[in-house]
Amino acid sequence: MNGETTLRVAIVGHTNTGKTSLLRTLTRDVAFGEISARPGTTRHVEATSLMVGGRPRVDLYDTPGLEDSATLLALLEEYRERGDGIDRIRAFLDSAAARGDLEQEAKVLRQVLDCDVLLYVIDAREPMLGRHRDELTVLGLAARPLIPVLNFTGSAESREAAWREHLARIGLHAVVAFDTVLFDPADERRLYEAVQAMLAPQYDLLQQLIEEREAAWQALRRSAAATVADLLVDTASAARRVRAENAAEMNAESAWLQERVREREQRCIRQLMEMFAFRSDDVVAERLAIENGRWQMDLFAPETLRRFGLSAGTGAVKGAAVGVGIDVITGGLSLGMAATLGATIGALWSTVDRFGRKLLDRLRGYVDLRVDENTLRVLAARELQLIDALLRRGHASLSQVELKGEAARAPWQGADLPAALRRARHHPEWSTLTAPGAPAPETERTAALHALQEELLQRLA
Amino acid sequence: MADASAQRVTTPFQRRLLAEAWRRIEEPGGSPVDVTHAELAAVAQGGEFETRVLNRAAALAQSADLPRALGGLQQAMRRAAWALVLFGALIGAAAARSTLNPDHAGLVNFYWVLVALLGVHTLALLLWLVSLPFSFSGSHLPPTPLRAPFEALARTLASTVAGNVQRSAQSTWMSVIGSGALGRWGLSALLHAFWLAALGGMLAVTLLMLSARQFDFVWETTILPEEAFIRLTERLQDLPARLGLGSLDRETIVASRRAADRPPPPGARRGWSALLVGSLLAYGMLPRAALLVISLLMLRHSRGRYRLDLELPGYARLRPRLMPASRQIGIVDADTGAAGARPREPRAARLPIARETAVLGIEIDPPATGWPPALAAGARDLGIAADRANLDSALQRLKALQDHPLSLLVVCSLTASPDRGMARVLRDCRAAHHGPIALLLTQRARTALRLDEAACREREGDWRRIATAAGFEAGHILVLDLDDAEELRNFLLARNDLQDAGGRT
Repeated sequence: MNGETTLRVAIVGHTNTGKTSLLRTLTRDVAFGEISARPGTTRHVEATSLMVGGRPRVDLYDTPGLEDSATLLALLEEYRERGDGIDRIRAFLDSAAARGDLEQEAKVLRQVLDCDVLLYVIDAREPMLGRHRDELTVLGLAARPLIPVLNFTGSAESREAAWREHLARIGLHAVVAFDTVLFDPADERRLYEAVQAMLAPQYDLLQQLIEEREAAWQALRRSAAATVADLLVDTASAARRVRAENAAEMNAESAWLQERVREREQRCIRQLMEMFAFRSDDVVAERLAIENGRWQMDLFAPETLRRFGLSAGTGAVKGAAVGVGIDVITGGLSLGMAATLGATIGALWSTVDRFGRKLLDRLRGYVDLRVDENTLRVLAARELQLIDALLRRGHASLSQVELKGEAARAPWQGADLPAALRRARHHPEWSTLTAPGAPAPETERTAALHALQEELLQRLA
Repeated sequence: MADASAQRVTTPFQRRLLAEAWRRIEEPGGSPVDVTHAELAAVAQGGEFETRVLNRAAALAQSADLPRALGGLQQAMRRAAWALVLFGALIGAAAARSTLNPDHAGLVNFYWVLVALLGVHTLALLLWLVSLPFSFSGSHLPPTPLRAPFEALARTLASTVAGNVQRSAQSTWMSVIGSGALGRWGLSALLHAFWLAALGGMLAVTLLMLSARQFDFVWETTILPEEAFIRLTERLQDLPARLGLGSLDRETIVASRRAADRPPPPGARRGWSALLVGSLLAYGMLPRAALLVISLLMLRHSRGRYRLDLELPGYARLRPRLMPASRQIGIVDADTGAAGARPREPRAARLPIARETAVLGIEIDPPATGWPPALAAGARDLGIAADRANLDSALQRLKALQDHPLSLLVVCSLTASPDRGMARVLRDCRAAHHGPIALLLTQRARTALRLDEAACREREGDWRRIATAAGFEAGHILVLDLDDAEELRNFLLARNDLQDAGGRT
């Protein structure tokens, strides 16, 4: 492999301790192998490779569980005269037993001899038993670096401390806690660091792996926040114009808007599940309760004024950029050249026209139908809750994420919505719900999105 | 600005623009074409995440004709820019024509002409310079009269070819080209090009009129000191003089003061004309040309620096597929099924009346209700076997009791996996004891904490399977949670199943 070394890691352990789960979580691959609560689910040695620098560099071998280590150990004892541990294992692998009842154990040992390091997976909810000692004795014969990995340490029944003590007494100190269901990136890092400590020649490779994982994790958090920010801006800016006194129209429009918001939330959830590489049916979302706020555009809010070019405050100076220059040019040219006057008048006219129409609408009794502020809070709460759950979810998890969004835990409770969302309220053209494919320049929307993304990141654990 | 390859996507900037447009197509309703092949190819080609996104988009967009839509838009925008430049040249020419207009005495006020030709331009230039720093702090361009026609043009173009692809191309164009650094320098370049054309038009008409007609340039003032204009003129011609276009000496300047009694000296005409042309060049066209070049360079630089916002959901969702954290290798040592064939021992022992029961725990924690379980009166405690050695010694003790009519109760935990190791333990128990034997499975509540209901049932079924295979009678396998005092008491009240079963036989 053009001089590049590949690290080979065997995942071993008693049956049903979560070896395949560990692999799923480390590889972010929900489709790897097969997982069930029954013993002996994995019956072959299956391999997968961790990508480092875009290339497969760390091969992980998922082995069947060691089920009958007592018999295996007894057999290996019989080969005592054959030499050291590795020779004894070779002798066993050549024996008839390795093709019969102990075929699964033979597979494990064959793989163990072929690997650089062993991860010994332990269900930390179980007590340390004789079979564990037997298994460790058998694996010890292979003389490979071995790192005990305590699974299910997030469980209330975890006996992590007892396990650490037991393992220390038999000389295993580099013990890593790694819950495959309740994922913690710090645990993953510690796992790789433990391998790093045992395999000095592969230090750089593992360091690169650690750094890439860290970067991917940060990118994931930021993207998740950006995805929710997009949903919130889309929803906050959505507006439908209806006639206030026409109840039927109002109901129809409000139902229409609610459906769009629900669809939009589904899209956001789909995007999140996709970017976290989970199955999209791993989330059960309770139906979102939406209230439509009837919300009239405040004619004299600074944002409204600004939109119509009647800049209040700094907007004018900031907006000046190239604009003022051009305004003056066109104005200036008209000194000698009347031709360009049209453009200036045109711009002025469109401003008056739009502003005037707003005023007129209001007089005629039109209102803008919008999603109510509290709905936005609940929406934010639901999505933040989902991200939190997904960030802590191992790819081995078989349970579903439930999405409720309790209003009590909603952000911005009893306070104003963040400035970015308040601005979005004044920009119906930002919403892909009510103004799909609008050719509006998106730069202001993008600025609002970034501000909201940072705000949401603050709220993520 | 020639436009030979509008439809070919070659530069990195164009590739990114294409990817951005493709994202806008995909975002609302997914990709209109099948992505599998393009994604596999992008992964195979390798590279950074952005490279893969670009490769994927390039492959997909081609099939949707997106490059053509973007190219068409680019072409239209260029035509519009050229039209604006042409318009500028015409306006400049018209301005020069109307300004170079001698009065009834056949005289032309030099400074009046100069201000009319260069005044607005200079003012606009200063404003552009002053406003430039502000445009860096704001991320957006303001709505301007020049921007409005461009947006209108984009809209018109979009409406001519309807459809998702066109809409996306157009919105991409507006938000990428029309904003940020790209928008700032693009619009600046357009602005300077317009002014350069206008000044060019002025220069052409001025030269034409200076060649074909005769103007006597004078200067005049009512309240300013004479010396001020003389000084000003000398200063003014410093720069044009470097171009070889300013050679008025002090006497000629003084002599060109407007006076009723004498016309300006005929020799001064050439000098003033040279100064006029030189000023147009030095104060008008050259700065504008320089700024145009700078703006174009900055535009190019900004294009080179343009990057996709890979945090956007439309890109981030591609990351697991384009930058997978792992790649499955597959099965390297397949199961042959040899270990799966578990020998079944057909032995159906009946449980006779047992005066005494021996209790043996296998790999369990002592139950909350105490050990040995208070199930049978005078139960003999064989202890809890945590490993092979424990088990062997317990079974030895059991054998030593063989003269007693004894039944054996093996207690296992449902939390443990009913694996082959456990099956062997059960077989060994069965083999070591010739009397009746029963299996008690405890810790159901704790198992339920870890597994869902279906998995619990499955676990129990698996236990029953290995126990019957090991020679336990199906009726002598019971599930009772020894951690639960209530459950144990109820069970005892309803009489011990073991004894009941024995009583009936």
